[in-house]
Amino acid sequence: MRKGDGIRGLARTTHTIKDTEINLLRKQTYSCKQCASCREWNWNDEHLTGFLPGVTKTGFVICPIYRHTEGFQTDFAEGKVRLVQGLVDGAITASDYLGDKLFQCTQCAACTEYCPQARVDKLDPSEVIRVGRGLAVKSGGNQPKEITIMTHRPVKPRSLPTSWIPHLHGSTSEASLAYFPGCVFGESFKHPSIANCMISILQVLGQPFQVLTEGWCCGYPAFTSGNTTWATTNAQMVAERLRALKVKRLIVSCAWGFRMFSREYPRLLGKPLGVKVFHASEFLHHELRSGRLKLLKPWKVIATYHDPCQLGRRCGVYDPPRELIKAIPELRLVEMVENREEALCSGGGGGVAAAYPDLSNAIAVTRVKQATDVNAQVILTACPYCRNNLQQGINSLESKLVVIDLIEAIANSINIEAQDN
Amino acid sequence: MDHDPILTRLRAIVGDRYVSIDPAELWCYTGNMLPVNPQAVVLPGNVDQVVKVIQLATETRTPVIPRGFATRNTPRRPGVHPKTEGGWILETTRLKAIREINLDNMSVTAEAGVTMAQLCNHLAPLGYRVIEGSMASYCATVGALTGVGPGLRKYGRRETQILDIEAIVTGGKIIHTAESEGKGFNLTSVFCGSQGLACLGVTTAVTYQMNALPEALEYLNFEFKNTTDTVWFLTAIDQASPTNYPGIFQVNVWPQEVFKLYANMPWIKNQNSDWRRLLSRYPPFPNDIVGIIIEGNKDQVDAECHSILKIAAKHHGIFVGPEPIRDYFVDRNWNGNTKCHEDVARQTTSWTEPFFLCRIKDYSLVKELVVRVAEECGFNIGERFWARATLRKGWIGFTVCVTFDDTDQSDRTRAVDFVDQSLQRATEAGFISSGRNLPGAVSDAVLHSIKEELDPLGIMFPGIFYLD
Repeated sequence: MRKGDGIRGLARTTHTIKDTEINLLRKQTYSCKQCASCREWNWNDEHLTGFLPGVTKTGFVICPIYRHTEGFQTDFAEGKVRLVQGLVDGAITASDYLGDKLFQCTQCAACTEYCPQARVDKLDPSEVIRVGRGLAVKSGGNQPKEITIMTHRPVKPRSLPTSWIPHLHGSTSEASLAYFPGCVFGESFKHPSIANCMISILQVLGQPFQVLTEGWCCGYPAFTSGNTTWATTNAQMVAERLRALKVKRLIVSCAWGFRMFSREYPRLLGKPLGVKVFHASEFLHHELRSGRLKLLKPWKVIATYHDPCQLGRRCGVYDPPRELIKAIPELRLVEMVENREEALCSGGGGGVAAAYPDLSNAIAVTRVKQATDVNAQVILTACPYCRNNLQQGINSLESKLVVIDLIEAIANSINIEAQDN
Repeated sequence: MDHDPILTRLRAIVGDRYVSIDPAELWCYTGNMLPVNPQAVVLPGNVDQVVKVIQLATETRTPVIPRGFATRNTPRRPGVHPKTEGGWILETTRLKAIREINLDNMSVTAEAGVTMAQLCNHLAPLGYRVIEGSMASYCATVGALTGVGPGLRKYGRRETQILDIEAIVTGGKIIHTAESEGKGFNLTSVFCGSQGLACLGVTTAVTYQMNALPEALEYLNFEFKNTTDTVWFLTAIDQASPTNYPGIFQVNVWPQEVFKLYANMPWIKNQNSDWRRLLSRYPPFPNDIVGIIIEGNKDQVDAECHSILKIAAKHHGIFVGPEPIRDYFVDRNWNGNTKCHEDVARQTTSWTEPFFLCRIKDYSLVKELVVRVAEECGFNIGERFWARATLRKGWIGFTVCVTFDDTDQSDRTRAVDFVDQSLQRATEAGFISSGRNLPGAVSDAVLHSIKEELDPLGIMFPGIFYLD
């Protein structure tokens, strides 16, 4: 149970939730049929073939949190949605327990993927939980202090030291193509090799580009904690900067960032961002197909691909990363038992890694074991959050597996050395 | 941490982590019409823990509310249950073992927390399955499913598919319903019809009959312009099956009220392609749509489909497609939890579903009767009322459902009136009726006696029969 220390009060006073969100919550929570499909997927029997394209098996636990908790109803989406319903209706009051239950969600959207009501009433359990977090905090519930700290990151543009980017000289501030390294490369995480590799690849491709080093936040921490107002303020600021920098095409190498820019900014701003947003894997895949990107250096390894939840289930990007991987000479791609729409979360999202590290690590361990089961030597992914969490899982298991970002693998295949600092 | 000494003992049995007394958690367990206000939720991890919890509950006279998962099989007769104050919700979802597959007598024994889909997945590679029926959810645990189930044309009622139930009764005694224990009784049928209504014990394992997986499966839907044609067609199918049509798995009849109701729902028009395809052919609504599911080997299914098409044509049935409608959509989107509907989302929080069993020839009478009663009670046809019938051997099982606002006393009273009046008038008309989803295998009086024998202290969640 988490108590005070000033952080909770801060979260409560700054958390805001819009009336429209309350109305949406009410409508959505009453759409839930309590069928438990968000706990275990059990419906894809022969009578219902084709009901959910892409879902190929049945009878397995889909919620990563439920797999690693006691198994109460509030340990998976159905119960969490019901908690939000109780909050909206005033049937229950916010509490530390309630807050913890709502924040124990990786926002992986597996529940949304499998929810039959998502097809019928457009119920999005993951989104209900996200917005419900804001309501819970505003009503006096607990927000883990680690998440509160994340959401109070300064949002104003500021210059960051760029010494961690050795090849920055290749960029130009006038280019309409921009690369957003994301917050995780500079400050919080100590291995900026993903950004360095991406910049090097862009240099090899020879297109004029600029690197956005003003240290913005894409707004994910505020967004995922249910503080939509802050996320909106941040989005307005970022949109303004993108306009000022004359960015027309934006490459993002973080799955959360990609979701924010491509899917959530138009919703938060109430209008299109005006910038064409690519995830790095999509951009590189486009370059590969056009023949400008040539992967020549062989890498004899058995690799598996971990679908980042925000890139896959939220944005539908499944094939470009796989086609890039398959283009690496001599690399053999094997799929884990849960892949694509069915992919298990790495445990790194939704603030769970920060606030509930043990739970997050347990999920990561399960995912790493799935990679081990298919005899993979390398886990490739396309999100630094997943990369970090899977690394934690590998460390816990003392496994010989290696996890690297897809961009690093591509850079390696065109003879660019990955550099961590 | 609560310092209640009884709760402390409870935690010692199952572990601290598996007992929750938080109001938010408890609230999540009290939805869907379950009239309880529990003190705690308990998740025992094995049969031994269940036994000890029941022993503790018996010793302390604490009510026990057994709970499985995802059947949504909560008492459906409004206004009958008083609220059970206190007590423990005992959820058996952690009992996950599939204990035994016996190919000699074609049976499989699974613990109560195994879901139907997990069990079917386990058996499928061996070429077998257990019959889950249409009303049973694949998400539901087998323990919970002992209380519900279908009346299937091909496989009969659920209790014919369940060979044995292991249950813990008051005092912590483990019983097997199929074992006579020298008394000559088989309690399987009683347990099958009683769970959640007149609870006799906590189911911890179920032994199912295994059946071979079908090679092929087809759906046929026919439209009938009047009830007379429907009745003649159903009679013909009933008389011919199973001799001529051993593959007929299930026959459902959706009266026009269902189509009126569905036609009013925006999401049906936008999202549900199967129903949309059917609705696009109406209005005007047909009198009935008869949906038939056929399974078996491929040649057999083909031949039966061909033959049934001929019979339907003879009785003026119009083939309207092979969509797998069955009652999946009805069950999932109306029947299970009526909180879903945008138009009535804030008003409709509960539902009730009286059940009638009648001879096929009386189908039109019982249909007219319940429609009239529903209208008299103010439940507009096509808005808060739907009905469905299932063909059984010589009989039709007819269910109707109305939704009401559980928090609105007048609405609740109307729902109670509807149930009471429709059941009473159906009984007077000579139909077999029941407030339960399925008619019981034994009379209420016998059920009372059995409950008193197995649960003399009355700690198991009482149920409507015990309260009558």
